[in-house]
Amino acid sequence: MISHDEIRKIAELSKLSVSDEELPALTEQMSNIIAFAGEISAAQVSGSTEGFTRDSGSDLREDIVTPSLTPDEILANASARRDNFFAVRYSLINK
Amino acid sequence: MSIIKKISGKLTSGELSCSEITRAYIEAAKSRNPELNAYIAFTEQTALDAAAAVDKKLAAGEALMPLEGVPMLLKDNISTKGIPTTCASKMLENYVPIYDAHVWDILKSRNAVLLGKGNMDEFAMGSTGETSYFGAPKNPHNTEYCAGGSSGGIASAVSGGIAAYGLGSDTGGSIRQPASFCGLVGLKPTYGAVSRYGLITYASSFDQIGTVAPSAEDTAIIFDAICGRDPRDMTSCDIEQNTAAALSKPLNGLKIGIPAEFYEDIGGDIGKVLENAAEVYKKLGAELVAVSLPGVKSCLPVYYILACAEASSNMGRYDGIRYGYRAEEFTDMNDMIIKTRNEGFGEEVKRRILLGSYVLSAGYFDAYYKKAQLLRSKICMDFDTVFNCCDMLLTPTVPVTAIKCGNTLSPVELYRTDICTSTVNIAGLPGLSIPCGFNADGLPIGMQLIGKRFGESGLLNAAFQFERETDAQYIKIQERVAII
Repeated sequence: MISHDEIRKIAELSKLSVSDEELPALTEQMSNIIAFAGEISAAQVSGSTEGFTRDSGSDLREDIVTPSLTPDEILANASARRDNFFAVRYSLINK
Repeated sequence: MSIIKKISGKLTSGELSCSEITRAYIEAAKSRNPELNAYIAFTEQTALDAAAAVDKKLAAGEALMPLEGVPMLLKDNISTKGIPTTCASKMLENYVPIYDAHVWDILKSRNAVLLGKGNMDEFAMGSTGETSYFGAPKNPHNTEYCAGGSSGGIASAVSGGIAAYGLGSDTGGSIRQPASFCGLVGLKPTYGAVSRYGLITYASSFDQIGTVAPSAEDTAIIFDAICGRDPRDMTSCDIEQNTAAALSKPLNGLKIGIPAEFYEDIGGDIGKVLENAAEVYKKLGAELVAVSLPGVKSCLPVYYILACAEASSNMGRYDGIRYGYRAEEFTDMNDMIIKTRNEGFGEEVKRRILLGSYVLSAGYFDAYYKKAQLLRSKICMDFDTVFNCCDMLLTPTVPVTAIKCGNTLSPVELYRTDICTSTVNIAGLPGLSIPCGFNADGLPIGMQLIGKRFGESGLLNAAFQFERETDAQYIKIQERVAII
């Protein structure tokens, strides 16, 4: 059984927060999910972690310049921009 | 009969213009969508513009390419430049991609008629469609049931007759499961067969773009168009396939493995239907071989540990700064990111991020993540061994039929329904779901063929032969567009 403190810890690592009201139900759900994940604990296995991608390999692309996105395109979905920068409130930068 | 060929035939014979067909599909889709919730958005002008281009080509006497002028939809995690792509999440509700996914690039160059974007589980995380921020897509066979997940919207639209075919993504069964629930053919190609460039990521070592269509022949036509190497996805492979041309190969001498582990909890209607399907293959000349894949028992936890670990990393990009939702009230930068993510993500996405962070965190990494990686290698080797004595495997697609809307299953109970499909993603193999019967309530049942890497051609041929032998009686597409 995962503890409330552990839930808060992994939420912090995940950049999420859990309210006191949410904590009991989430702890129960996560305990069940982690117990389910723990079903692999009985399996005996050793060797390598080589997967199915082993034969596809990877290759290097040619070192040539290709078209890239403009600043306007890159900033098109930003909540806020100033000139060619992503903007966050000044008060944040001051913190 | 292939619906793609049927539409292409009407276009080239001059019986109907592409604009007429497109308008008929748009009208049908708009009228049926309130009931099915298959589409998140319509792209009417994009569709009519493509149709006009096709009509212009036809008027000039030019030949059409396969798929040209055929109305379709894309799952809403496939990027479409200038057209919102939401992943069915509040987080991306107003996100408009600045580039096209590779598969949409290809289809656009063929004047594919994009009718709209398909509903889905949020960020492709779910098995019923119910984690969608926009509500679940419904099953056209009975709208009290879900179309499935995560690519439920495209399956609902194709089965409901309001799109000819759809492209989706499959990370642990997200194409094959809704295809099975809706009585369609769903292909999860080999990892690397189709570029994922522009697919919004869930779990990078599992994600694959694939197809939902009424028949094996339709599937082959679409797959041939979208497969191949794309330098923008380094996992994509330079393997050309011409599956559509290889659809009439007799099955004499084909060895089909029946892996016992996939049938352990299968009974009732699904068991009977699968037995019948195996008999059909025997009649077609195939030899059935009993095989064993002992690693299957650990597949579900392996899949959820690794997929969620990758998801927790991939979802880190949603911070409210560069794109996506941003919380309005916050105290400092860290608080802004946390509130953005808390408000922008739904419950299932948060659970998977939490599980991923847990299995990657200090103290648990070896016991969960590393062990799951070792088991993944073992599962891959098990498949290699099995394919030494057979050409493909026949299994159920899902151990259940479509799930009722508003179900009260726990997250773990829902995860367990992915047993037959997630195994295939773990090993990066191609998997094809084919309609093969109905349960007592008339809901479709699918079977799954699993092939060797890049064995799509063999799978599609086997599916095609099955459809022919059974007079395609298990394919039931609703005819909403009367002129087709």
